[in-house]
Amino acid sequence: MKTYIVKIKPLTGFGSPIKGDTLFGHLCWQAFEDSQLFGKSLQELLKDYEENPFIVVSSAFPVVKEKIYLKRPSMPLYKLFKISEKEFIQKRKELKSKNYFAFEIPLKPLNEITYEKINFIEEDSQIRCTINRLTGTTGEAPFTPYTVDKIYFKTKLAIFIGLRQDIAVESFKEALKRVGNYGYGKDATAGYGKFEVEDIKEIQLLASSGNYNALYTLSPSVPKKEEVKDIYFTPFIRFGRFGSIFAKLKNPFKNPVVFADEAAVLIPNEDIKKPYIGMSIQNLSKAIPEAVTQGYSLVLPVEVQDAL
Amino acid sequence: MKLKEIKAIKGKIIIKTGLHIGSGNMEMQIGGTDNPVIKHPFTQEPYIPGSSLKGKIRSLLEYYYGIVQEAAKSEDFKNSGGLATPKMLKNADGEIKNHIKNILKVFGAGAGETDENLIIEIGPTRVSFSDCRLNEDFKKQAEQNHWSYIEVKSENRINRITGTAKDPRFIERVPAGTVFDFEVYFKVLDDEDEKLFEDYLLKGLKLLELDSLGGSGSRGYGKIEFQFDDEALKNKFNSLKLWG
Repeated sequence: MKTYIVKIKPLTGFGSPIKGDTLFGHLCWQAFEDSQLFGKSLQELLKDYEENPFIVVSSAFPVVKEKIYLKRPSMPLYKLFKISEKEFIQKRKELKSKNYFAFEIPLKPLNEITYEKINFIEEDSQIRCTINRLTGTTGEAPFTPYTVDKIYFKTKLAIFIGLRQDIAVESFKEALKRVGNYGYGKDATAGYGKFEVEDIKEIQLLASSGNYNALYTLSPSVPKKEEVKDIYFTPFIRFGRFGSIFAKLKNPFKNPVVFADEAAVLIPNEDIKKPYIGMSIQNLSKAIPEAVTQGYSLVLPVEVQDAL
Repeated sequence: MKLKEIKAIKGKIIIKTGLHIGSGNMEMQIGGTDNPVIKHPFTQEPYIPGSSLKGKIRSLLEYYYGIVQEAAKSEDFKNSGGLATPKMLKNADGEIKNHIKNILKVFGAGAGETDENLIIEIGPTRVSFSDCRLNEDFKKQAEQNHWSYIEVKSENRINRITGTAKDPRFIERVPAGTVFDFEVYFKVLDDEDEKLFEDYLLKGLKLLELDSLGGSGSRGYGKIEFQFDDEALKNKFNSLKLWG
């Protein structure tokens, strides 16, 4: 699998945060609508998704002054900051607010990295209404005005991508461009979630740390039992739903999935040969039994002091 | 279902008369107006929400194709406010049925439909509007000339008996002459969709030029003009006939 970093420029507010599993869903819809896009139909692309995923996408991370910032690993703070216990107690809240770190190659051991406080999201809300065409006004339900939440990204964003050997990077770029034009996530057709695709560069994720003993995940993932010796993570429960035409089903909801959110740190059982971990998630819905979700995540090798 | 083409309409929206798309006044500010327009939360620049464009265009098309008139005939559909819905589609026939189906195809049908065949027949929402940002060239021009992106208009009502003002109010507007960038994408999923692009989307845009966007349209607010980047589209749009 070849890995890349793609940078995108948000053009409007977003209804949903950009997470790996949702973005994977969007790309699948692009492949479904245009079977020529990746050179194969979606069914063919997903045929061996369990063993050999055709694409693994990460969540989006902020780009500040040309540097990509990643989420602070989901580990106890004392494992990330090299300070005395007394100082740690005094500064606990301040340290807790340092939520990101700059992604550099080679990556320093996790407890030597400088963590910074970064706020790249502004939350806002929009009042919407449906006008009753017969009276020309709003009014009683379903014509009562309602509030819709919206998030604005203040910076450009970076997404890490893994593509199987037979998937052309140009095809991926085109698919992502279409997602950006049509809109990502909630309320895309009403103006949300537009972005522009900027540059895409190849990167060797496995070379990011010379001396690693752990892996840092870049999207919500469900690691396989056999690949993990230990894991630090924040649980993330996805109450997923179908997009496009299936969004209109009476029951468009998928079964909830418990993910280890991005920024999990896992201690692998053996040396890693692939730049990703995790599995394909199935049995998501009785309505559409063939549906799958990305439980894979691209990983960065990292060094953790006193890993176990 | 096969994606044949994604049509892109790119261009500008020129504000012809003051535009008021209200933000709903989520907070009270000392010295602030009661009726602010919607603004980007950290640049504080006004924008046109895609939802306002989509909603207004859809409603104009529903009037234009007689769907509102049809809904008014039945008590059941009166409650749905004259909007084209899958329920209405099932009960309609003839030409009106076609118009309802096409509006659902172009603008979307909403969730909760049980009939899977109908969902597949309608397919995914073809059109995708975008929030419209201020045009970069206009911003430069405005900065050079110290133009404000917002004007505050005062209004009142004259008591006919005393001849004096009542109910004074201050309304924020985006001033005439402001230029926004405009982008719409349209998925062509089968041959019939080509026709939907012209008959529903382009005609919708044309109707909007004749009507108004945002609040207080009958008092002269919100007249807009579309300028398309593509020459062929511009000619097509100009030669489009709505009546007769």
